[in-house]
Amino acid sequence: MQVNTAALERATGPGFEAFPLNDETIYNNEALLQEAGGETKLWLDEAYKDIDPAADDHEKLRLRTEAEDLATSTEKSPEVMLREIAGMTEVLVATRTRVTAGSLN
Amino acid sequence: MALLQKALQLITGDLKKQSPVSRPFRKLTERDLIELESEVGSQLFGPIPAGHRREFFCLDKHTWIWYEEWTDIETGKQKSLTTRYEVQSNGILKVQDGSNYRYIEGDELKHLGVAIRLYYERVMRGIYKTDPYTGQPLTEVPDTI
Repeated sequence: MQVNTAALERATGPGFEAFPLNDETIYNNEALLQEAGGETKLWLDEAYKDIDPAADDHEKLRLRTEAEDLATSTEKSPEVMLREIAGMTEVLVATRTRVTAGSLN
Repeated sequence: MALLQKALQLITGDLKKQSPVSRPFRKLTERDLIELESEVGSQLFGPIPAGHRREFFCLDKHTWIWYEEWTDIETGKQKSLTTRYEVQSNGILKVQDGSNYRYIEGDELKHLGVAIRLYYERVMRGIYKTDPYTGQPLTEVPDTI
């Protein structure tokens, strides 16, 4: 099936600016909820509770965006985010190396 | 160049012809594992549109790759875009198709961070059966990755 190239290029060009994680993924992510000490889930429950099935799409979108923002608003500094990314990346690669070496699994 | 070649081989290789899932008893290579990880990574952003191919994976301890492939609706030709995220000591450098590069910040950095966190959680638990926090083997196998 063919797709609208212009739309796709608009979407893929900026990378993660244009591909925010979908709210269901974030909502269901245990780690994020744990990180926020359970508060995120409470906020999200509140936000989702307010989504009226009869509301118009614009309002639903606004509320979902708000819920997503709440889920991701851990307010970390760029330095902290960078350290976390570097740390997770290193652990992933080390784990992969152990598997290929036969010392895991 | 070796890094780029490695990424390109992973992306353009015969990934579907030789799925590691179909041969579960042989020893998994680094490439097999990256393919499995990428399958998890490609699902982090919701459904993949028909006619698309998406890969998102950790290439090595300094590099993340996001690859999109689709068919141009006007020409019918295959198009693709490779985005490389380099984890450096002073920031994350985003490189697109080898020429356009800049350090990411703001929402883009936040979204990438969340995506990597999700990837890390799911891959560690789902593929390596390892607790992502303690590094200890999981005693229970998760239902889904």
